[in-house]
This record gives sequence, C-alpha cells and structure tokens, in this order.
Amino acid sequence: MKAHGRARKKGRQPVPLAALAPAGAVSAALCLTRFENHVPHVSLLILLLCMIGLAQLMPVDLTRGGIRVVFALPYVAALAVFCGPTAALGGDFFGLIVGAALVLFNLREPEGPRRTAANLCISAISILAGSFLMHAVEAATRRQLLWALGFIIGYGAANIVLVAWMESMLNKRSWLGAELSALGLTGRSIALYTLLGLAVSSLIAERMQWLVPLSIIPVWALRTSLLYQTKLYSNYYGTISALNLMLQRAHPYTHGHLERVAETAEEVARRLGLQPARARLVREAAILHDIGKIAVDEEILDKPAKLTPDELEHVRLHAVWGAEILSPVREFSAIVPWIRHHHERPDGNGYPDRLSNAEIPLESKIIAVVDAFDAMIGSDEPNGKRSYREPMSVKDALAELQRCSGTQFDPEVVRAFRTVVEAEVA
Amino acid sequence: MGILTVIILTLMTVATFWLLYYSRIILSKQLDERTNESVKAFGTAIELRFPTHKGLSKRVITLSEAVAKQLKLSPQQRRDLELAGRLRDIGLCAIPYRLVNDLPANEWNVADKATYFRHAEVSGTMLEAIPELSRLAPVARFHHTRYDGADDPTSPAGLSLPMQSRILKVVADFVWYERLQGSLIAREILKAGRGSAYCPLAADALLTVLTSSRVDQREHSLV
Repeated sequence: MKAHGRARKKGRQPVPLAALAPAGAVSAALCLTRFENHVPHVSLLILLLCMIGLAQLMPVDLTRGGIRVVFALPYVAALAVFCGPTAALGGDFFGLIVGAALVLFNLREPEGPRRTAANLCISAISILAGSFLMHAVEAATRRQLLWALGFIIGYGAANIVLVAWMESMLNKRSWLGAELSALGLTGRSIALYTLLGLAVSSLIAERMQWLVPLSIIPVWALRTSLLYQTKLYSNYYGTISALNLMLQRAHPYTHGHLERVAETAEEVARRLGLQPARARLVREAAILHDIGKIAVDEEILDKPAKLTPDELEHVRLHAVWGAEILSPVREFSAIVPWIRHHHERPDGNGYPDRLSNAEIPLESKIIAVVDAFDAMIGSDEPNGKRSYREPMSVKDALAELQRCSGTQFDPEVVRAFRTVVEAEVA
Repeated sequence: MGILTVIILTLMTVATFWLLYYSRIILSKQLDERTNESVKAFGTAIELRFPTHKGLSKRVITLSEAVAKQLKLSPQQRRDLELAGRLRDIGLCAIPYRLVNDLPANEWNVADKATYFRHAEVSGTMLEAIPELSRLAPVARFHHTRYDGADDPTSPAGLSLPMQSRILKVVADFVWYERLQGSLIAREILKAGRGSAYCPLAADALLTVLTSSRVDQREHSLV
C-alpha cells in the first residue's frame, strides 16, 4: 500500500517526511548490511521485476486523497525469499520508479516528490520488518514457504500501520480511525493477498516459475473487488456531498456551519466514549442534520423579525423532512432517527415527537448542543451570521448552554462540549 | 509437486473465482441499488421543496424509457438516461421557493422564466462535483436547451447536444404542457417545435410512443 494524494486541501498537513526519512535511511542501510543475500538467477530476477512493473499498472485508490494499493507484495516477498532482502528492496524501489514513469506518460495521477520520498521510506521500513520476521522463521525451519509467510506478515503489518499513520497525519484523523477504515475496506482481500504471495513463492520453490505470470489473474480479481468496494464507498460520500451541496445552494448561510458542527460533534462524541466508527457516523449525521431545510422557504428562514406560529410550524417540519429525504438510502438508516430528533429536548418540549429525555438518542443530543452553539456564535464567513440574531461571544454562548442544560440540552453532553471548546480555546 | 503447493494453488483458484463472482455479481448489484437509493433521496428533497413537481419525474422517466427503446439506445445509454431523468432537476434547490410554490407558471414573466431555467446549469455544476455521476453533468446541463440553440448562442446545439438531453427536453416539455394545458395541446406544441425547439428524432420517437403504445393510457375494468 502507498499513500498518495492530489493537491493539498484546506486543513491538510504536509507529508511527515522529517519523521520518516531517518527511519527509512536506517532501514535501507540495515537491509543492505544486516542480512545475507544470495546470487539471484537472472531469469527469475527479470521475471519478478516484470511482475512488479505489471502490478504498477493496476493500482487502486482506496480513499479520497488517502491510500493507493499496488499488488506487488507477492513478488517482492518472492525476491526476499529467493534472492535476499537487498533484492526485495531493489524490487520495491523499482516498482516506485515504474510508478513515477507512468505519471510522466499520464497513465497515473501524480503523487508529488514528498509523497514519493515518503513511500520510499515506508517501503524500506516495511522490507526491514519483513526481513527480520523472515530471518526469525528461517532460523526455525527450512521451509521456504514459511519464510515467505514471515516476510509477508512482517512487511504487510508494518506497511498498513505506517500508511494509516501517514494518512491520519495528513488528514488530521485519529490513527485508529484511519487504520480501521483501511482494514475495513481491505480485510477480506488481505487473506487472499497472503495466499497469492504463498502461491508465487511455492511455484518458484517447485521450479515452476513459468506459471508465475498466471498470478496476474488473481491480482486482477483482487483489483476488481477493491474497485467495486471503493465505488461503494465513494457513492456513500458522494451522496453526502451532493445533499450538502443542495442545502448550501438553497440556504447559503449553511456553508461552513455544517462543516464546523460536524467536526466538533465528532470530537464531542469521542469525549463521551463513543467508538471511532460511531463518532464518525455522528460527524456524517451532523453534516446532514439540516437537510430538511431544503424544503423550507428561505424567506421565512432569513426573516429578521419574529416568526408567526404558522411560519414556526413550517420551519419545524425540517426535522421530519430531513428524515424523509434520507430514508430511501439504506446506509443512512442509523442516522435517520438522530436527524429526526435533533430538536427534541430533555424536558419533553422539543419537536417533532416531544420525546422524553430517555427516548432521545445521545447522537441527537450531541448534534443539538453543537448546532445551537455554532448558531449562537455565528462565523466571520460571508453569510455566517443569522439574520435574526447578533452573534454572541464564546463565553456568553457557553453560559447560555449551561443555563439551558437539563431543560433544552443534555447536561452530560454540555459538559463534554465545554471541555472540547475549552481545549480548542487553550 | 508438493501437497502443500497443490493445496495453496487449489485454494487460490477457488478464491479467485469466488472473488470474481462476488465483485461482478454481488458488489455490482449493490452498487446499482445504492446509486438508485441516493438518486431517490435527491428526488425526494426536490419534491418536498416544490410539491407541484411531485409525480413529474416519474412520468418523464416512463416516457423517456419508451423513447429510448424506440430510438434503440444501448443499455448503458438507457441507464444514464434514467439516472439523468431523476437527477436533472437537483439544481431546483437553488431556485427561489416562492417563485415555484406561490406563483403559477403561466404568470411568470421573462425574468422569472430565466431564473427558473437556470436550474439546468446548477444541476450540471452539482453533478460535476460528484465523481460517480459527473458523466451525467452535460445531460443535466442541457436538458432545457433548444435544439436550434436559439435561446443561447453560446451553448451547443443540434447534434452536438447529448442524445439524452435532447430526449429529456422533448419529454419534460411535453409532460409540463400536458399538466398545464392537456395532452392534445401538448402534442401540438411538440409538433410545432419539431426541428426548432426539439430534436426531430426525439420528437418523432415520442409522438410514435404516444400514439402507438398505451404508455399514457389507464387500464379500464372490463367488468
């Protein structure tokens, strides 16, 4: 796996090369000096390098601006087992050079020099981890198949951990979250990938290397499966983006507000002890919580005066409409009730269903607090202020939340929210 | 060949076939279902904003499918036409609420009409932002563009317009006038606009569909 990305987006961090470069250099030096290498058979070397080059033609980009999978490990592992870690290092670097050459011919999206350098470092560290494990297995058994297994496990584990770490640094996500999303998408494929690595090594051990080119068929199958999974993933996030875009076109003041609410809501969810995947879902629900406002008359929503009872009733329907809009999408089934109930109150005076405190989902309570706070303080962006109210200071808004704690807002959520805001201010 | 190698190669072969079946059949079906669900969500949002549009899309899609069959479009073109038919109006979210909900369409002045028809451009821009659906952006962008290009000299015209846009223009206009003025007048408008407002191929296909099939007829009880 490699980390890749387009031009850096707002809020993204530079590639953490300062941390990776020394580790990569030391790893490469250890690979070259620490392990015993064998004189490789030229035809085997050429065959495996060709397969590595071929694998570079079939990459899969797993997440937006995140992880790129190239199916070269089975061949790199075979190089490590039959030629030694130096050849494996050379083979992996050769793959990166082929990848860079493909960019020159517009056959692949560019990564940027810092990305390529970071990938070289990750590659060196992964090969060192694989080689150490292979060396340990080698001492215990003479079976080359198990050496290959040792290399694949060591290389694969180090690679997944490092790439997810880099992605978490770049996108300011939690490391565990990035790790889980990478594993979640590729988990089923990892078993088959390991099997493929073993198959390539066993064919070479049986002196049947002429069959190795056929391994491109399982590589193609793996690629097809990952491509579909990635399409499902991007369909999900594409739907969220499109709905968000529709709301922003209908009510421009929501621009910026939804992103701020989503980011803070995820953080509050984490503080309240929700699992990372659940907290991520809270973020997505927070982005979509006002989607029902698409159906609300913008002249009522932007009205500077007090709303009439009829107008208030019309605006309040947005919670029901939001749930109605999202309900056809099965993947939103968990967040539909959170959106329907994000205006419910612990004292039972909320809408649309006047639920009691115990009946209101925690996720709705989180969105309610963060949404109210952001609406109170407004923002400096154009359209960031509500027409009907002057923005409050952070201190006054926190005091207002505290005042309404227990009636309008859940006290525990307000407490968690305060710690998040205070940490941000500090 | 060692027994272990045989086992590994057998497992590998079985897993490869299973993975290909899983991807090509199961995941592909899932992807289609998810895309349809998302498109339904967009449609629900627009119908909630503008209740007068409720049911319009369904009729437009039914007729467009019949026209596409009549024109012998490929399955992929028909699938894109169906998706574009559902998504063509997502740009309506940028159109003022009161223009559509409080003012009857036959009372719109030139400025109101210009405002309303901007939704096609907005739809196109929004679809461009969604990688999975960006191929439909030109179809949505030009689904109200006249065939002769008389309304906008800068936009493509004639056969340069996507086939699906030409079909949607004919069908959507027909459904609109059918609702406002009845089926007979809508057909006359269609015939009058053949070759100017509407692509002759698409207009003829729609007229054939309307006259030769029972697409718009109710099935009456025989009892």
